[in-house]
Amino acid sequence: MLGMLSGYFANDIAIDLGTANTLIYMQGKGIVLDEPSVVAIQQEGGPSGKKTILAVGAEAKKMLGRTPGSITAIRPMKDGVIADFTITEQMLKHFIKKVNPSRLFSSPPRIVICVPYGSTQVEKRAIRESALGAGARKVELIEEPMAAAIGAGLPVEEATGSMVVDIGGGTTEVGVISLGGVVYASSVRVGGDKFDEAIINYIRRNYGMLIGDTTAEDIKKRIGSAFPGAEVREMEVKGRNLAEGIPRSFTISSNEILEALTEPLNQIVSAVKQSLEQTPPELGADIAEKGMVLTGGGALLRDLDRLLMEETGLPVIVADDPLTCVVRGSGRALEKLDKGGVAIFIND
Amino acid sequence: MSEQTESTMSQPHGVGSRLKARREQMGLAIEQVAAQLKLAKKQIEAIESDHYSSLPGNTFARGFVRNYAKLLGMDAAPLLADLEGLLPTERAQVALPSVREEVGVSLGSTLPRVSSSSRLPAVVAGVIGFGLVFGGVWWYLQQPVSPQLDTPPVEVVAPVDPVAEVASPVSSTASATASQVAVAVVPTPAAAAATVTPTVTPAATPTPATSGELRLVARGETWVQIFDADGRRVISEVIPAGGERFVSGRAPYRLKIGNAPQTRLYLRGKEVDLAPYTQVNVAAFELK
Repeated sequence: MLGMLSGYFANDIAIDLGTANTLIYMQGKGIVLDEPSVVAIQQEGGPSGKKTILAVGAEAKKMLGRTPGSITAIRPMKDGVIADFTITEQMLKHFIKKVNPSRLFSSPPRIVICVPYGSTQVEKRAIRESALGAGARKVELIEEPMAAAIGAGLPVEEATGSMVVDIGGGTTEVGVISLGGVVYASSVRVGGDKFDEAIINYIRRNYGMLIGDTTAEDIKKRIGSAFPGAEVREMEVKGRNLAEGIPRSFTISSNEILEALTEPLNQIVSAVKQSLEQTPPELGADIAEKGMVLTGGGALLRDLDRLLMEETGLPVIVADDPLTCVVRGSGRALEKLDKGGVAIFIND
Repeated sequence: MSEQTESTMSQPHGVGSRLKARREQMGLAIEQVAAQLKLAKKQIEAIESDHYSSLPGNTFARGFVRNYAKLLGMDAAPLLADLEGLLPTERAQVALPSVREEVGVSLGSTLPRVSSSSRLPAVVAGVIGFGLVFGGVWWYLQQPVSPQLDTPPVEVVAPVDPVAEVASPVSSTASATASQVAVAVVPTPAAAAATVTPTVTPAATPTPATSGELRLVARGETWVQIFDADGRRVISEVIPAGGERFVSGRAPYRLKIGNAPQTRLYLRGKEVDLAPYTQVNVAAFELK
């Protein structure tokens, strides 16, 4: 009875603490927060002065690359894991407070957070600790491929193999799932960030121009593609000319971006192929019939499904609303957590 | 797009046929489409004839239709909206009770509504449960009081004031020595009673508001339960220290007194010695 009551007054949440974006799903409310994982910090009075958090999330993202000396806008997550422990904790605290303002009678929430498959004990512990530090009552971790598969609506509990490819900001997770467990999974540290980096390098090499992260991301979203399509799109880009040192604008086409993205895309393709090689034949047969499902922000890269289809010869589909698959899957897992417990009352 | 095609679009039963019509219009064979989408020919045929149950699942059916529409250069959104009504819901629900709901959410249906409605019965059941528990406790507490209330005063007993306790050790030792007979229910020797009552009566005369055959005086807190000959519960309660209770019913009575050394019991005005029946503070006995 008490468990039911405290469960009723607490708002349990699921968090997709991603390299690029942090999403929060609240039980009974759906997705309540979707903000970039960026924190802007102000340094007061010299290098040994007090540090204060200036902005978090979307506001802080606007500051990325545009800050004066006293302010640093940083992304505390790198390659899917915590790069800066304290800042991550502060960011989490800020987000949790935003969605779950403390009220009378409310107890601290239970939190489900997803971690990349194959993250080390240290990395897992860092995530767990920072969530506890941010005010969680209890922290449960879930592996990203599993969360993505549940969120994409795959039949994870059936005796049939499902393959999910989750391309996030920092990592790409490939998982083969059957009977509620991960049969094979691999994680490569290639994702949206690597795409941006590849675009920056390409432009510097071929145009002698330097562009920022935000511009690179914008190029990727607007004209980036993974497979040569019928139409060629163009975009005007502004950056600093390396030779002259003066800002200039130039035009870049989708074919060039395709060329720039070849290397990170090849890494994803080889990770998928390797997973298929390692998959037991029965599950491989299931996957051949159903194909694989793409989730995560990377799935929105134009024609990435086409590329994987051509490379593997298997059907590839993009999940509904791929950006939120992982957090919805974690939220689903959160509700399952309850079903195991006291909770005939809470569910159904 | 002409008016006519718009109207056929709004019909839910035509996702497959619309795709098929478009494919034929573009002059593509099923094999060509299947090769492009990396699907089997029978899967394409299943989509075109709206037999989605033969596809691996609803998620995949949606994905295949989306890919197919993209290949044919059609807008996938209206097709997917119509597809919802055609998908085999039952199969997916049986196999995947939990995930199925989530799919609905991702398609724009409101999760808060689903979840709050699932919570409502829990809240109602909780309230009812609380009501039952508290109601039960209240009823139980009320229960022993009522017989005492509706029992009419049977007989006025010359009451003995607790002040008379000073004299009581004498009476109890006297009665203990006088009557060791176990059956003797009213063992009080007349002499002992006589010594007690006269000293007390003057002080206690104004008090006998309530009366009954049995009178209980608690010097310390004590639990008392008495059943009469009919098996009716005459009293069952904790009498606070200094409390006094008058009860009556039909003799013989079955009594249980929790704190016997601290309790005085009078039957029709005569004190009953509890010592012979007392074992570790509790006296349990029958009284005629």
